[in-house]
Amino acid sequence: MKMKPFIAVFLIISCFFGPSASRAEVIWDPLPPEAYAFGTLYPEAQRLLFAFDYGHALVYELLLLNRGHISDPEAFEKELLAKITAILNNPPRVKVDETDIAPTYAYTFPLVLNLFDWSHLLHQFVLDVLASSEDRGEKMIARVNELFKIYKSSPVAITDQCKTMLFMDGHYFSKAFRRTFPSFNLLIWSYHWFQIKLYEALLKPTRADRDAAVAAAILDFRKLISNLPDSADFDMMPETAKEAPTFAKLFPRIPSAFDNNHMLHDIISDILTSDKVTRDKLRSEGIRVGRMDQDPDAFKSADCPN
Amino acid sequence: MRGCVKLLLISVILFSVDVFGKPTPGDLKFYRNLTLQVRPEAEFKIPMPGGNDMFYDYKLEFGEPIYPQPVTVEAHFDNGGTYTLFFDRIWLKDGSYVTLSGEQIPLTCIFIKGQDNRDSGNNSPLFPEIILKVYIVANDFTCQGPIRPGWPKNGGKEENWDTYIRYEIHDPTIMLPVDTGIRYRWNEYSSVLIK
Repeated sequence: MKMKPFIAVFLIISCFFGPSASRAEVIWDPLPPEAYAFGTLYPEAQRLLFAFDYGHALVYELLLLNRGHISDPEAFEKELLAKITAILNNPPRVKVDETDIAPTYAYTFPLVLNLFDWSHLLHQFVLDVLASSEDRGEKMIARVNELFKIYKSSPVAITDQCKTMLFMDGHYFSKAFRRTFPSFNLLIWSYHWFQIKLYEALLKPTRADRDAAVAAAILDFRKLISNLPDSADFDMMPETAKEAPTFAKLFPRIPSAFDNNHMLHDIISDILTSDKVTRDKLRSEGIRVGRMDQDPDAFKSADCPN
Repeated sequence: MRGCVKLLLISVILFSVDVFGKPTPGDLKFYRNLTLQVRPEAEFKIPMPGGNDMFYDYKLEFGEPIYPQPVTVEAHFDNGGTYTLFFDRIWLKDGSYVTLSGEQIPLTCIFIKGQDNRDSGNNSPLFPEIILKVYIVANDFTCQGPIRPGWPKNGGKEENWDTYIRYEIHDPTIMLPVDTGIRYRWNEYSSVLIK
């Protein structure tokens, strides 16, 4: 009889800790054992990734707070670039919570925040496996696919069905960000290019090759952002299958999941910049485009790379 | 003597079934129906000093259940009576909102923590047979809470939901929200039901 209250309490606590019928948490629990191993092996690159999270959140927050009051976009962009450059030159050592940097954005775009957070965890854990796996063959591939399966089981997973560029460029508010803030747009595309390149770098056959490839990616990224807009000559958002073909061949569905995440980042930038989206519509538009990003049938492409 | 042994054996079995009584499928359906009877719209007032009262209202539409069936736990009172704790989670469809001071915030799921006291042995009208604690959650499209998964090992805050409407129901015949309140971006406000 004495055990019953204990068992009851244990079960109650278990109920609060993750009902097992479906994995619904944007918090990945339990964390994979490889979590953040990439940061241990490649701290400089990891810190840059933390800086990107910071930068994304900061630009969204400042666009939202200054919405309708940016009389000089060029000056605003210059000031924003200066802030971000300072962070990129001295990037954070720990992962920052977006709600600490961008509380207004986090509160206004809750679905998009959930989608990004979950996707970024997959980004990170795939890097962690590729960086730290002792097996470089079937076991490593199986482990990445296992993580991808967990990712896809969440109600906040972005679809891995590739989409046409119309998803990014075909809305009434599209391209507002890149037209108004061209240098900042190229900075973001450079971020995404760097992230993608890391996957390719970590598939080099030997540790020495991987170390060299990661170091080269860091150097190339710094060159890309050294003198924006001239230093980065992207016409379009970098695509994972093109920039990381080895990775795309091994994991044919993951590139689309990553590209759909990157496109959503651009879409949110456009929503925040465009005066065609009224303030009272921000939340609902955020949910609408977020759901589109999850929907495999929305803007479905017949021309997928793999 | 043999008859007594048989009777004793049957009594032990029956007692065991009673003590370790599992909820029947009928109970689970009953608990699920309770969740689905939570009123789909309501309006509340947050009384403030100086007459600057605030108002909020919600409108929700139930989506798919997150648990196939409500989760239950059996427990005992000191008097030997039993009660059942039950937990349920159901998605809310896009388009469910709470509106607070003109701001429309999406409602994403409903979480119920219930207590079924019908076998408690306490028949006082002051002691509710069924208690529902209702959380109508905003902004969390994963519906994971109220405790953050993996806390404290994974760090972060203990609780996961920054905004929700909460109230209790003590009488399922009328499903009247009592002890109502709203948590808005971690700030808690008590309120009263208007309609």
